[in-house]
Formats: sequence, C-alpha cells, structure tokens
Amino acid sequence: MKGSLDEAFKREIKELIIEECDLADRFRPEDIRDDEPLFGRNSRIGLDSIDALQISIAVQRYNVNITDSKVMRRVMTSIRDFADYLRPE
Amino acid sequence: MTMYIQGASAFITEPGTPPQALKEELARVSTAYFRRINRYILLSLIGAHRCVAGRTVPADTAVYLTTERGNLGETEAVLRQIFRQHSLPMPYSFINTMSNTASFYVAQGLGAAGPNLSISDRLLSFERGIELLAVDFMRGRVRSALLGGVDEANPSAIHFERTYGIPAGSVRGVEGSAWLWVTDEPEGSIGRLLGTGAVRDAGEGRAWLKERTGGSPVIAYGLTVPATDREAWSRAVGAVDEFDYLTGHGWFDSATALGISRFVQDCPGRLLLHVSRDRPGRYTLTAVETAAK
Repeated sequence: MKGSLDEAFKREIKELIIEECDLADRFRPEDIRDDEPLFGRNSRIGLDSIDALQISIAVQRYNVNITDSKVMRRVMTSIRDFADYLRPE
Repeated sequence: MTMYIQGASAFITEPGTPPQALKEELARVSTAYFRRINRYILLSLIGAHRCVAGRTVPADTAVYLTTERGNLGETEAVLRQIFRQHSLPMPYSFINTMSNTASFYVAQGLGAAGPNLSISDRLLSFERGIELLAVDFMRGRVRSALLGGVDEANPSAIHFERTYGIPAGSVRGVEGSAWLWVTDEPEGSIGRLLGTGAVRDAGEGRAWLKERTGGSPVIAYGLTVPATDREAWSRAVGAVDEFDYLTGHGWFDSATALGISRFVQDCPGRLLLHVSRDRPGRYTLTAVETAAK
C-alpha cells in the first residue's frame, strides 16, 4: 500500500518528525495535516535545513538513504509526499 | 577600569534532573521558544535568564561563557554513536558538541549581539573569563557583558580524583550555571568586580588585594586550596569571615562562578576575596565588592 494511504504509517512519520525535530512542546501528531508544507517561513511547522539533515539520518531505519539536501526538501514537501517517498507502493 | 555588577544568578540542580523539569524551569524565566537544545544549553539559559531577570540588556552586550568541560553529555553521546554504534552522529547532537552553541543560544535568547566567547582553562575558566572581560572593557570594546560559568555534573569518580587530587565524594556534586551581568555604568549596580590576578603565595595575595581596596575581605576558597593553606591565607589578608559556598551550595566544575555569584546575591556591603589554586600550585585571586542594601 502506498504510504499516503496508510494512516498508521503517516502517524508514525509525524511522530518521528516531532521527536527528531524537538517539536513535542508545540505539536502532537494529530496537529500536523497530511498536506501542509513542512519547510519554509510560511510553514506552520517551520522545519529548516538542519531538521532535514536530522530526519535524513533518522529515516535510515526505513532503509532509505537521502544524501542530497535538495532531494530531501523535495520529498518532504508534506507528510503525504514523504510517506509516498518512503513507501511508494 | 571598574566593572559594575548589574545582576547575579546561580542556578544549581541535582545531577540527573530530568530535562523536562529543566525545560519547565526555563519557561518560568523566559518566554522565548527554544528548540533543539540539550541539557548543557538548558543549564546555560536558565542561569543567564535568571541573571537578567526580565530586564533588557543593551543590544551590544557581550557573552563570555566559561566552562571546564563544555557540552560533556552531548559529546559522550556523539562519541558513543560513532565508536560504539558505528553510525553517523545525529546532526543536532553533533552541532551541540560545539563549545559555543550554548553561548549562541544565550545571546539569541537575550538579544545580546555583542562579542560572543566560550572560554575554558583548566581549573581557572571563570577567572580567565574575567581577565578577558577586563581587557575588553579597558579597550572599550565591550561596555555590557554577561559572564557565566556552566558545567554539567561529571559522574566519573576516577576523573574527579585525577583532576582535583582529592577523594571523590568529599563534596556534594551539583550542576548548573552562575552568571554576572557586568557593565561600565555604576547606576543601579549591586557590586563591583575588582579584578582577578595570579600570585605565588598569601603574602603576594595581601599586596595584590591592597592595591585594589583597603577593606578587610570575607574569604572563599576553591576546591583545590588545601585546608593546610587556608589559615595562612586568612591571616595574611586579614579575613573577617569565610564564605564556604561549597558546603552551602555544592560543587560542580564551574563552582567559582557559583561562589562569586552567590556572594553578590547573599552578602550586601561586603568585600570578597576568592582564592583558587591550579595544578602546579599557583594561586589566582578574584575580588568583588558588593553594594550595601
């Protein structure tokens, strides 16, 4: 099943982002919408390049290696996109 | 050049205090939102914010963060990731091992955009911070500064005994940070930092103190000043009392900052002479005068 169609998987990703990016004081998994932008000034979540690096190391547990920061930001546009990148089918 | 003390704080806590409790303490003294900070940075921020106590520091305020061990816990975590787990260190952990990360957060949190230094010198880190600050004041490079000592508890008894040459467990261990806010303006000050300097013995110490002030001091000793030397020091400088902050508040690697800061807070209208001793046996003195209430 594509990652974006798996609610439990998307919640797991949200929990990972909250934990790895030290966001627990501000967000719970249910506070993050599947389609909202994760990066940038206009993003409510407000991740930056250091967060991207942290997450890229953390997702190695899914046997995914992302070494290009531009790729990282592209695939992490939203939770939905990131879930599909981590689990395309 | 006189350095006037506008604020003093000491935040100490028991080793192993949960990070969440430290975060809650920080929230009590600062409304700023901090992310990706570790234990060492939390200790730094709590102490620095307590020192400023809700006031606004001038935008050109400098930060001199002194430490014996720096980001000890995070450094241990990174080394474990690399050498034990054979993995890449997590980026936040790696960044936070840099010695000036904590002083960056202090500056950011308090809007202190002046020079920013992290200073370490075996057993004399806080005194070296005072020296550098005095030079920068004299040159007119700095007119307002936050000077702090920050260290996490070091749980290694072997390391303690090797470093300090006294049995582990002979002092109660704590951790935390202690800060002074110093300016070149006397208005509203709670004390004066008279300076720091190295001497060979108590006789030289007496002369050093006389050059700076005529008063009789309260004396305080760093951890490594042997009990056998203390009476000679007390007699030579005509000490009227002893300020035993190590018994009263506990010890950590930045305890000198703790002692001086506590004195400023607790002992109005008095003169403090703090005596530290380095490994080769040289003494470094620091003198502080507090304003009468």
